[in-house]
Amino acid sequence: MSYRISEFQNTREFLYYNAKSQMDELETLEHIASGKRVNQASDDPIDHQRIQQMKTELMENSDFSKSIQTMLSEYNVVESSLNAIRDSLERVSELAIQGANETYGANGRDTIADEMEELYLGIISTLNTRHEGKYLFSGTATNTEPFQDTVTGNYSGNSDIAQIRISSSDTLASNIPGDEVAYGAGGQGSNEDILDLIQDLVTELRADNTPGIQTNLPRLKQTIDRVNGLIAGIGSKTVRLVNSQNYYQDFEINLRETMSELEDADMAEEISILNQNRTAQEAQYRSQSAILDRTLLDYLG
Amino acid sequence: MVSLNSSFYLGLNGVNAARAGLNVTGNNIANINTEGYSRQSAELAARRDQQSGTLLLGTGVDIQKVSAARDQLVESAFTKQTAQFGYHDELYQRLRHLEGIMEENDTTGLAQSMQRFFSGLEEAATRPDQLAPRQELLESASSLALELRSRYRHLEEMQAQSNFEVETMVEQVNTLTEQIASLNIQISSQAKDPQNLIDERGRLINQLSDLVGIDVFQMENRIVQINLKNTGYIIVGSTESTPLGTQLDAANFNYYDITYPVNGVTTDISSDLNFGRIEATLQMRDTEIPALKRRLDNLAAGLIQNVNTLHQTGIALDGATTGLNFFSPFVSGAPGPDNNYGAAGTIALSTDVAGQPDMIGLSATGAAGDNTIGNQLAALRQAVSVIDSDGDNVYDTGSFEQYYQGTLSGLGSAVYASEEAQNANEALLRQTENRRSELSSVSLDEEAVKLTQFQRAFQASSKFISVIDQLTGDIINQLR
Repeated sequence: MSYRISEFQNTREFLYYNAKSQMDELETLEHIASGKRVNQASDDPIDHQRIQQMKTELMENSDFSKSIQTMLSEYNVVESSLNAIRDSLERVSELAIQGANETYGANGRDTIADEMEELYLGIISTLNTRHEGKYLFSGTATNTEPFQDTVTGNYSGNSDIAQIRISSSDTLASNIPGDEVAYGAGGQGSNEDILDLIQDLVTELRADNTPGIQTNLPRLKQTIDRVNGLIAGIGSKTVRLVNSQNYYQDFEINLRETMSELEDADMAEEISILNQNRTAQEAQYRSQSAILDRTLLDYLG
Repeated sequence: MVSLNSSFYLGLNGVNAARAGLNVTGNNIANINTEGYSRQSAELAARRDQQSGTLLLGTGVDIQKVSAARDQLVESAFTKQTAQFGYHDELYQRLRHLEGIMEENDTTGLAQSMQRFFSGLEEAATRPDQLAPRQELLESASSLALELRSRYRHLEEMQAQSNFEVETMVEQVNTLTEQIASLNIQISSQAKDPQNLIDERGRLINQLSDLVGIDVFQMENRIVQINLKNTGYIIVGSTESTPLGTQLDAANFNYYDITYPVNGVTTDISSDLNFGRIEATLQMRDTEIPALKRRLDNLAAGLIQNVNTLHQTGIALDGATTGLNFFSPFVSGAPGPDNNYGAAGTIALSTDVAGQPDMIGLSATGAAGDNTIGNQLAALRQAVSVIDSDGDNVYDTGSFEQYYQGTLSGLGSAVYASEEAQNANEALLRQTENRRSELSSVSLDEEAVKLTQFQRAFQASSKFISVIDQLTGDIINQLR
């Protein structure tokens, strides 16, 4: 160990440590200003990757949430449409029972048939409901009006069901094809065909054929049950969607919490680091100025 | 007998010695801020005695030489450390720049664009029969493509920039070696050590080693020979330098190779360089940036090909048009590390769908509300085998977003490690510099003491002369 310290060793050391302190200060200020501890990958490569991963998950969640929201609003319209159809069928049922009553005359039955025809058109119009520009009951042929021919009640849509992704692995049917709503599983003309049923009833009413009306009464009950079944199906799907959405919300809160732990700067800590740094710099300046003041030349004559 | 006259000369000799000493001290003080300067000191020695009758009497002082406080071991450690620091510093600065290019924040960045693109797909798949989400999808896809292309172009610019800097650095090396060789000649032609020239040469050697790692050999006659580190390539011989050359390498995108005439044959020695800024710059140009570009290329190729393959099976909103590309197609080359070269530089929406949102094929049946293909496209986000990572033209890794996150964090780790190395080497360099300072640099306190010392010597010798003068006068007066 030599005891020889040259003039600018001090200065060099001072400049080095001072620059370092200033860099540290800048970094602390960046943390405080951005509120984040990890601003670039090099700040903490491992945490950075986890944070990015979480951001992706958050985005995915919000996308699925958005899809669920879209479906929920569609389901709402479907459900109220089905409710309207069921209500119409209930009225048809009341009217049919009245019509089957022997006390009514031919005129009365005609009036009943008139009202029933109105209900029939109402149901067709409900089946042609549009939501955000698309037909709800035409399968995936959403630009095609499903029931154009009110006389035959023929279906112009398709029987396809569009699946919507509600998570990375799950999909949920977004629509009920119109033929399923109008005709039931048996297809057009079957016992549960709403349109065929009402048309039959109208025909019998106009023909004053009370036994004919009566034979159709069990069909009515069957059909109303079927529509109720459809409504219940939508209801349970809605519950599932709402559950998923709640799950996504909870998940998001958890994720944000973890992310904040990884990413966010601890303000109290950062500020105390800043203060420490200030103190260190103060000390550096003071000691350096004391050293610079002192040279033998000042003491020699 | 000693004559009084000769005593005059003894006094003069003392004054001269003191003056020389003052001069050396003055020179030290003047050079207090000179980089690479080694403090000098006058080496004094008593003159040979002279027979004077029966006595041997001293005849004064000789300034034998001016020596410099310089230690070969410390100097060579400093040279070596300079090269290592140069390498790590250059690499760190450049990697930082690279990280800046790939900057990602809450509102912009490649990862952000990618998220928006996949969100766009999800939304379009949810509402396939509407134009608004399709339009949104096109926007987000086009901004993703733009983002990829612009990052890629920045990388290419940085690569080209590094290449030009290699050329400039080689020119600097050649200028330095030429200067060192010419100093070699001047230094060896002097009888005594020309300390200031030797310091100047030392300074140039350190500048040289900042650029490229070197081995310095001390030869006879104070000449140095300089080899490229750990090689037999002599760049400064005893009296002449051998310049390094550059030549375009057709196999490496016409970037410069560094050449040396080995037995008169121009040979590529780029890979033989050790440390120094040149190696770091070459490493950026030939390893770090290409690796990053390759990852972007793989990402882009995977994206183009997977999206297109699915999209071609989809039917557009008109219910009939099918077989369309979503992105402009990219065909991978033969298996090899660069099989996807250029994919990220050219990715763009295909003309089939650009500006025509209704042409996006989301339906499998042709029905407007069918979203089968849309769902499959959206599911690409989670797909785990969509990227060819090893150049064998087989998709073997994913997902897109994870691959890119991996890319970013890989880069982050490299920057982090390089920062550590740079810090460590800076500390080492500072230590060596301090050791060198301890030995070689000027201390004002020390010079102040020497100044006083020689001042006193000067005064005393002057006094001696005046005493002899007085005695001579006295004798002359006695003769009257």
